[in-house]
Amino acid sequence: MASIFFSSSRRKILSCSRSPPFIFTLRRLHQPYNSLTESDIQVFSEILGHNPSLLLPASDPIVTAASTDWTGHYGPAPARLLLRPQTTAQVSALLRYCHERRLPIVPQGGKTGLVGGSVPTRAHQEIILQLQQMNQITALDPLMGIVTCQAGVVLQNLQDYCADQGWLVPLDLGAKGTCQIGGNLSTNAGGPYFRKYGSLAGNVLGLEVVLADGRILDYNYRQRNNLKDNTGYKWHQLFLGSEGTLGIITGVTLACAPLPRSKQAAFVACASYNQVLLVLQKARQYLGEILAAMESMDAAIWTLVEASGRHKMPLSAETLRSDSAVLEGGPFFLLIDTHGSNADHDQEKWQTFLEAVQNDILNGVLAQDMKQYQSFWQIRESANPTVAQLGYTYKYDVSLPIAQFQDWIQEMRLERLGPLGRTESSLVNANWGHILDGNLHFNVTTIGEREVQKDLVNALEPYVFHSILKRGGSISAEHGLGQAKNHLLPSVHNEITLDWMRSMKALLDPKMILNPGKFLPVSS
Amino acid sequence: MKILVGVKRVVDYAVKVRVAQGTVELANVKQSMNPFCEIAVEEAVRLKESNIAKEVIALSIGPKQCTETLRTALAMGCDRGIHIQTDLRTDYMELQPLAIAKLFQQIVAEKEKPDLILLGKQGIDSDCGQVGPMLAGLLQCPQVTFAAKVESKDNGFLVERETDAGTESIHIQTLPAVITCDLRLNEPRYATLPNIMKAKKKPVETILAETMGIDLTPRNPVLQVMEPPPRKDGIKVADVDALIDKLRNEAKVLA
Repeated sequence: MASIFFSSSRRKILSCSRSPPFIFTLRRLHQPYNSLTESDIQVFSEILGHNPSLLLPASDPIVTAASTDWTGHYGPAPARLLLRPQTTAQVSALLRYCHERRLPIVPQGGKTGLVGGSVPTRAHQEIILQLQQMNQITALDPLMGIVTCQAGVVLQNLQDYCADQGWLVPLDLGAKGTCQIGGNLSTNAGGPYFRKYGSLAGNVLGLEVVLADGRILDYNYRQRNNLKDNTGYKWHQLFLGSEGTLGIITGVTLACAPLPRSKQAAFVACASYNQVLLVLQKARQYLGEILAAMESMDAAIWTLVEASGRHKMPLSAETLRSDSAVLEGGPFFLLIDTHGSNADHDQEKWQTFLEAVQNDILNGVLAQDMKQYQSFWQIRESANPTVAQLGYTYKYDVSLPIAQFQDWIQEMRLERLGPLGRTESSLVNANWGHILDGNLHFNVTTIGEREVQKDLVNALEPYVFHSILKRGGSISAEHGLGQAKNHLLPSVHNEITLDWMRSMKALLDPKMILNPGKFLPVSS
Repeated sequence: MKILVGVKRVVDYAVKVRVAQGTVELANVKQSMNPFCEIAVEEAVRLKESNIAKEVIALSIGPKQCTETLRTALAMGCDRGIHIQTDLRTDYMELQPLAIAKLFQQIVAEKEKPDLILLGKQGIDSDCGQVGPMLAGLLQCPQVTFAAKVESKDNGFLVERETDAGTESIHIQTLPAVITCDLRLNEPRYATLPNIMKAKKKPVETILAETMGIDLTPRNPVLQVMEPPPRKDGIKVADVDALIDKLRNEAKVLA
């Protein structure tokens, strides 16, 4: 009975799908991965042209580093091997072999993910397959702004390349100097420009994916680069945000936006969250089409960034806090960013906007040149690294109705964190986010402590998730599931939906070699 | 004491400069206050805040958009602005340091008569660093360039300046004098919104450059403008022997 489940033929899988839950439980109980042998390594070496820098053994410190995620919460879990293919053909050959031999793989890009999705798990000790060698930008159509590149291209390099020719890659994140576009696609990365430039998925015109069995799927990647094409099921969209569990993305064709000639930014401080909402509405009204991003930083994170001494802060939380108008949780800081085609027009819009909000803000600073513009963004992007340095950080990336942000934060503080009785110098809750997109990053840091604390975890989970779901929000707005949040999926989706997801996984990766233990819940 | 500060509008420090039609492309390119002029404005405003100066006037030369540069200076704390309007390019292509120094000289000697003239050490477009010394020469007054520290002393200033050999202290005993400002002098402040609003009401006077009776023709013809050749990629060598070989035989820096 067990043997038919290990076959990858479609007919048998379809016959299995009549009663999926039973089959998948059984599959997981009998899920032997094979051990890595010398002859496996020989085959890999052959595929990679016997180049010693493309195949590293588990004992190599580089592999140990590659086995620990950015947050340090996961790993180092031992990996069996590290592979660095240089072409799609090599990725295909490697996967075909691993599929035959039933060897588990974790695809890895820049390893900047925050949910432990790109590192090996202790349970399976996967082979790490890094895409970093595939870093070529193949083409950029200068008239259409369509760029084609391999999955291992570092995001910032792609941004610079396109900007040189007047095009803007419609994605930006703090990790841009390290993250790779393949990883961005696999996690359907969000970032601050979601509202203006749309989701990353919406801008993907073509994709090249290598499936678990080594087959190469190409959707408008090599031959055709069109903005509009409706010739078939848009299967490529399925891979976006699938976190390497359905296939390995090796190439992408992306639509860019015209590079804005005029970029302006301001930091404003508000006394209360109600004022924040007023400023948000007026920004939409007066800045309109040029409004590109609005990022929030609360007093807690602002104070921590200020204290780190790394940045010249345009405003001081300490000074502002003494204003009597400042309410509980305040002052709140907003970074307002605009992109437009004409600096004079943009400045006129800004003048009208600033006049409209002058009574809604305590103070504000407008960047006078691009250096100031960039340093404002650096301040915003230093939020995550700042708390990460201070101690173990419990990170929750949620979506919820914008009007409820502060209300929910207060609820968490009063009902879950307050009762723990910790002092301000030992435990801090710092919050920031892409407020324009309704995305909040709720962070709790134990200052000076690097070990996870059970009582804190219990105070936070599963309360965070249930309270967010109760408010109709998302328990993972943009960071994804990885191995951090996959167990929560049954609270989010009903059995029909979950079942459908499992069916897709079984169809595309029947031997479960791609990124096991991630994304979908692992059944016990 | 009255201070005159020069503020130059240049291609933004963070923008990549391109060559088009045989010259530096300015069309649709972001322009902002020269970073060294920002430092000069900051120093002038600090002198006013410590009651050494009573009035700070910002002076800019260039097209009508210079009023934006002057508004930044006003938002940082200058009291009023003077705009010498000209459509001649101020990045050395048309208006050159001697002409600029002469325009400054007229404003200083005949109009404002300030006690101190603060300038950035150089414009990041032309990189000449000449207006300060030329102006002091025309005015026959003391000059200290590359100032890293400015302190009031007696009726003058004690200035520390940066040289390749180290820091030098100079006591300016008579005024007026010209000081050009270097990077380490201070960190310019941000323009806060209330100050930006206030700056809109501060007076800015416009004077047309042609009416000042100064010969503005460039003295040095610009022969060619080109981008630097692209940098060659670096290479990795396998070992020290290979490194020595390359240094000796390719780069020819070893005997």
